[in-house]
Amino acid sequence: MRRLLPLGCLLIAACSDLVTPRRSNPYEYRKFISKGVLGGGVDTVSFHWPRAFLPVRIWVAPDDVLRLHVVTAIARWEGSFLYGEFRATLVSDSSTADIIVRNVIAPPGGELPLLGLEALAPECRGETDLFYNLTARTVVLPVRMYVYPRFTTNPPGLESCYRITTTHELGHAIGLLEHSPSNTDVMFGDPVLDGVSDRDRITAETVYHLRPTYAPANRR
Amino acid sequence: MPSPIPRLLLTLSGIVAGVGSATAQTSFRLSAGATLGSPLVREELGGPVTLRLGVAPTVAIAAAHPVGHGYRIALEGQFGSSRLNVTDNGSKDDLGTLRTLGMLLLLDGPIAKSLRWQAGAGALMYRPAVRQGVFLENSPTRWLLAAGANWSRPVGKTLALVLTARYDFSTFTTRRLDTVGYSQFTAVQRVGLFAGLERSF
Repeated sequence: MRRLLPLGCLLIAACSDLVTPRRSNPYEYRKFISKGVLGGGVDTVSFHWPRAFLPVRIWVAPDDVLRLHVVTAIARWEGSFLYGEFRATLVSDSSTADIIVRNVIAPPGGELPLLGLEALAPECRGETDLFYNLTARTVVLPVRMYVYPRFTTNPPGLESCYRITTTHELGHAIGLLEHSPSNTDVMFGDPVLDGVSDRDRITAETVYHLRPTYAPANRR
Repeated sequence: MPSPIPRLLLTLSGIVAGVGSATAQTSFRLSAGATLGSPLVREELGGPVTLRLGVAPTVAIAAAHPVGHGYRIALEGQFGSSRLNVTDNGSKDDLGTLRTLGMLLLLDGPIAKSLRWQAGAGALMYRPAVRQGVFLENSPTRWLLAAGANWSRPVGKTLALVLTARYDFSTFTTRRLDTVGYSQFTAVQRVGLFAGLERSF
């Protein structure tokens, strides 16, 4: 019997598998919008970048103060995934970008309906604009991200605010379309967390493993 | 960047051909082939997700020394390079290059005239080109158990053509998986087929 024990252990080991963790509940990441003239009622918007679009192309001007923070935000969100669900790269030509990042105040929306997703930190503000087509159920590219100072002066903490808000806005751009109710998450409406929490990570993972209702379109 | 395998092969063939002053009866073997393994990670995340290595072109170099009664002890180093592939809910994606380095201590013995068995243990090192996903926090090294068979045919006084079939078993997990709450490990089983030249001294 004792002789068979090592063999038994080896057999058990040979068939073993990773035990996946119990994941806590994600926060709400979908946006509910009014269909208006298209029959009324509410439409659920959920969106993620399909693997065919990876790496997502992000443009930020080379001399923009946000550039470093965009790099940090990309690393933070990429690092949240285990299987390369979201990957992004900086591109030098804004006309080929899927996401355009600017350090200016967000302009008013254009002809297409707009999902304006904001962050309200003390020193700076952020907004991510996703234009969508209700009929085709598409998010029309490029997604536009704006992070800008609240005041004309350079208050202390602006760099930190840029870093947090850029991470928050990129969270919107990758598909976390709602705010977390907890200030321990970077996707809280008035974000203070300088990083990505476990709940942010689990929510992002959920976004990328459930079927979205909208798909990106008009890639250039 | 060009693949490092042809360069490595060239260097190693130089070693096999050039080592003439080694101990008598010691043999050196250089072989090349391919390794295929079972998934590194499997789980359900809104659908099946599988992370696995593609077929890995592999080179191996080994030195063997007789230990009596037809048995030999061999030290073998393996280098393989492959793509890390993920299948996520039906869609496939390439997550870049993943290299593996294996070190094995093997015992081999006769089965028939030109057929020998081999078995041993060692370590398998995973070296991803990009630190991301499950490899974000470390490049793991895991224990390895291996067994296989060699078939050889002399092609000269001191040279032999050797064909090797190999099975190995290791476990897989990473620090990142551990950090986000995964426990235990995946049993990874690989098979490899190699052809090579062995030179005795």
